[in-house]
Amino acid sequence: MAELSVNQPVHHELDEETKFHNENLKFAVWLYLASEVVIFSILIAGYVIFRLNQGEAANLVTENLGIALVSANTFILLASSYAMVMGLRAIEMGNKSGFMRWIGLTAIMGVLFLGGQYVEYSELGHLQIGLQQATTTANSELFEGVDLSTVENADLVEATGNFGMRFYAPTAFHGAHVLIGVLWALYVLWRGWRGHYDENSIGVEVFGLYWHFVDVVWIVLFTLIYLI
Amino acid sequence: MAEEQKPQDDNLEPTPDVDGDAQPVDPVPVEPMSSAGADLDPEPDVDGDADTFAEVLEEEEEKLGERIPIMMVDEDESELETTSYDLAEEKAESDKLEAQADNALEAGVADAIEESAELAESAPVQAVNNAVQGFMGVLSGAANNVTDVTNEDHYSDTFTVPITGQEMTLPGGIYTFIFLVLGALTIFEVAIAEILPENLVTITILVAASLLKAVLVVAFYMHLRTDNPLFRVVLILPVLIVLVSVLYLLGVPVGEGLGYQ
Repeated sequence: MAELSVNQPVHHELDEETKFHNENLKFAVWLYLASEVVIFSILIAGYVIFRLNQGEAANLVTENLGIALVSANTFILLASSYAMVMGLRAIEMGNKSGFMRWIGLTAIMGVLFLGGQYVEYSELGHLQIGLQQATTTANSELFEGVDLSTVENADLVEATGNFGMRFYAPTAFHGAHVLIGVLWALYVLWRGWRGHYDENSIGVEVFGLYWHFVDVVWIVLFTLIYLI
Repeated sequence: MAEEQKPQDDNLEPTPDVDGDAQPVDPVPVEPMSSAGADLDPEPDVDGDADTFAEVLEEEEEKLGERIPIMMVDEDESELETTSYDLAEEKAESDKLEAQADNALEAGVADAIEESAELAESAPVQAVNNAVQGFMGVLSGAANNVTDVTNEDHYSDTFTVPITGQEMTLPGGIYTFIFLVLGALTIFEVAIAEILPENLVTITILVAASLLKAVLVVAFYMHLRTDNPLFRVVLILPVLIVLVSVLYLLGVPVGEGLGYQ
């Protein structure tokens, strides 16, 4: 933490052309993120509509999963965003070793998040929640203690079977983004170690935009899927 | 008699009478023509002066030459005269209609231009014009605004707390502060979801907390607070479009509207 107390920034004196290039690069990344917003929104909307129509089935699954694991995962991802921005701060202040540590920590927390997601998916598989509706049967542990013979629960098995696709589509797509982010973090680490960002740290900043966006998506998913 | 039977056509000259026992030659019977004049029934030789095939053929040719061309010429001229008269009449009518259509179109366009000019002066149109010009001005200004992120918030451990304006010092500065807020909000969210029953109030609180977290990350970690304003437009525009689209979809009654069931 010794690097954190350094408050004498090393502002890189960039020429106008480089500044212009940096600005264009960031603009391009924002445009890319705008397209990601649309894709994730469609997936999230699909889940929300399912949740509105089949609330009982969604609650049954999320309550069986519990909140502890996913809360820990959320905290890990938030912390990784903090590590990311601290890595950018470090490289902008000329603190290369600090940059390596923070970005390395970011990659590690990304892997931890993916590990948590793997555990969660394994649990869902155990509960017979798959991509296809037919995967879920009345024998699943989900329905222990649930009277499926009542009129209210007549379609519960079928509705729960439909939960899988609505759940996996946004969360797995997000997980794929985290995986790509981890690989990108390793690439940024390698380039940083070779000194590519000593003069111009735009590469780190652009990666940061992507990583924080992935974090923002998870913030929304966490609330909509697990909390509500 | 021999002089009377002298052939008219040089090509049909008879063989000279070398032995002096020439006999009168009977007239050759006229056969119906097999070519151009075959269908025409030749008139009988009433005057009796067409005694040879050559004479009959000549008479038929003369008759054909007199009759057919005269008939054809008469009919063609009549038709041509009628056709040219009709065309002239139709052209005049067409020109008249075209002129009327042109006049109506010109009048319509003139009216539309006049109405458009009047509407352009109206208050709502002026307001929209001003709004569009203002928006384009903001975009243009933002696009030309090449920023250099040298905000002290990014480097200093001392920072100003948003909203309250209080000065604080933390290792990591504003970034650490935001992380602490994000953590606290997450704990708050989990506590609300676990403790309070699910109803409209708790859902509203949870969504609001989630949006606040997202805004904090975007504004401080993604530097949208200090970066080029154009980036905000790039982010906000798709979010708005998606929100409107989703709300529209949710508003379509099941089994009605688009027929979706």
